[in-house]
Amino acid sequence: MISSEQCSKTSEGLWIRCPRLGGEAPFTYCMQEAGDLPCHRIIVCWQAFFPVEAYLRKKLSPQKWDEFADKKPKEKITSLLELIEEAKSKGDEE
Amino acid sequence: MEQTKVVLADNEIPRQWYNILSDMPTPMSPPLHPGTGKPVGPEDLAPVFPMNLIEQEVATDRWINIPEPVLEKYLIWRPTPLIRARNFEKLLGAPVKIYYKYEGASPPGSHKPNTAIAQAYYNKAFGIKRLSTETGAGQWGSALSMACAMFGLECRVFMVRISYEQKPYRRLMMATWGTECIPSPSDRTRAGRKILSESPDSPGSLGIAISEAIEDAVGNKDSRYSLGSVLNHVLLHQTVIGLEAHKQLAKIDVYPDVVMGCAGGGSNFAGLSLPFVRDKIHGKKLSVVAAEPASCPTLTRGPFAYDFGDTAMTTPLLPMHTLGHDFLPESIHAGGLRYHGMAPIVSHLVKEGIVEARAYDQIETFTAGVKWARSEGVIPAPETNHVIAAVVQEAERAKQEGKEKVILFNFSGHGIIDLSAYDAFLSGKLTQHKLTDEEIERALKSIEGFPKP
Repeated sequence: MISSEQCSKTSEGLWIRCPRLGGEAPFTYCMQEAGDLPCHRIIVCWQAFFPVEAYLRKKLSPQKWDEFADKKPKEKITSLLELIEEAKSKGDEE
Repeated sequence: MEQTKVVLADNEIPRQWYNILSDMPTPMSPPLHPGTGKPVGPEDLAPVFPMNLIEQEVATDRWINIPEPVLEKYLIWRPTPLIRARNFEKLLGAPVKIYYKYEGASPPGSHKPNTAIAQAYYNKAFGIKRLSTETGAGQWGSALSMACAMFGLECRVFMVRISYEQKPYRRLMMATWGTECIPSPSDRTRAGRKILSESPDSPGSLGIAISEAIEDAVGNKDSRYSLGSVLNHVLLHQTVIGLEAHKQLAKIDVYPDVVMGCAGGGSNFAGLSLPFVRDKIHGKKLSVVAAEPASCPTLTRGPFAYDFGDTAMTTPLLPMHTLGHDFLPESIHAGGLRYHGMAPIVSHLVKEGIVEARAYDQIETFTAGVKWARSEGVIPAPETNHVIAAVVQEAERAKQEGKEKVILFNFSGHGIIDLSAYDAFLSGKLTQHKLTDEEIERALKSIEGFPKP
């Protein structure tokens, strides 16, 4: 994962207003937004400016690319329920 | 003198919220629990929401009373004015009358407190002592902070670290209202500690922040979680905007041809439009438009391109094709309302063809916002610029078609605390055009050494 400092060092040509964050974000942020995968919007947001899909295919391992390409964003309520279960199970472990 | 503002007296504020679920022409599919595959029940949500809000989440009553303590707080800035944008009309030179609901009048400067106040009240009434939430750049976090302060609740906001470092003003607002604003990932939660152990300088993400906020709420009987968008009860609370607008337009005997709002999670769009959507469902003729973000430069598209090609939004956005794109799974390709946390109610209305979604890129939205500021004075929030870009497009259509139109839109917030976004736009920091090969090479070289995701 990249660091906050690395994020801010991104070249000036690679900043965008992130519609999810509600603020400006560098391309490097988009690359790690989903933890070990890029943000699911990265192609929608960036493809108009440079061939980000080709870049991702080159940058990601074939396995990671497939994982990224096959991953469907979840409905909010589904994400919430998963996080609730996760938090409850972590609580039980302690 | 021509009238510019339409105001309601305090005693004319709506006493009920409107619930669109009672008028949906087709039923919405219930959300399913990812673990059991069965419809989500109240008990599934109980660890994070109080039961009185869960009841609202699943309610089908058409009207829901607004509690007096909520109305008392609303009255600090509500009813908000309905304003005719005469200067912007002149600037556009189109046969349109433009009215907007000014939601920037609230103390944090946006529509968000309409639900923050209600959620804080219901949590307090349920006996909750602390609310936690996540925030990106701080719009929601600041609204909830104010609401919690008003109802004597503790508030803990997990703010994505990259925004926490870049955007000090909203976290200072939160601190002023007594909230503990924590950069995420943090050492307060197991989820945050795990990330920090792997990457101590992580810039965070909304996903991490929400994990932390949920974990903070779950397992503590006095704490709950609060969400500022997407969910049914959030949209319900926001309908006070449209209900006021309905009354205000009736006072001047005007009815809109087009109702518009910007749609991120859908709450401000729904807040204004749902009472008008009800009219449409019952036979009134009007267009309802949700303006959402895209990134594609205007120059690459036709005048009315980039709408979704069909009501089911299965058609990919056009720029992908203009760039010689070959194949991508639809989950990535479509990128529209369905795919970035849009409210199910709004998605359903789009699917039904009742609401139309249009996408606008960041440059045309800021261009429209600057035009607005230079004619109407108020500097819009960057999100609000999306709907202003939609208004510009609609006015251009009216001009081309030679039709007079009344446009109503939701001015969801002012941009005084987001001036850094304007700095980024005005200084050319935001990517403004399709990069040349040379620019791409230079830009990507600068991040080549970064670890792979």
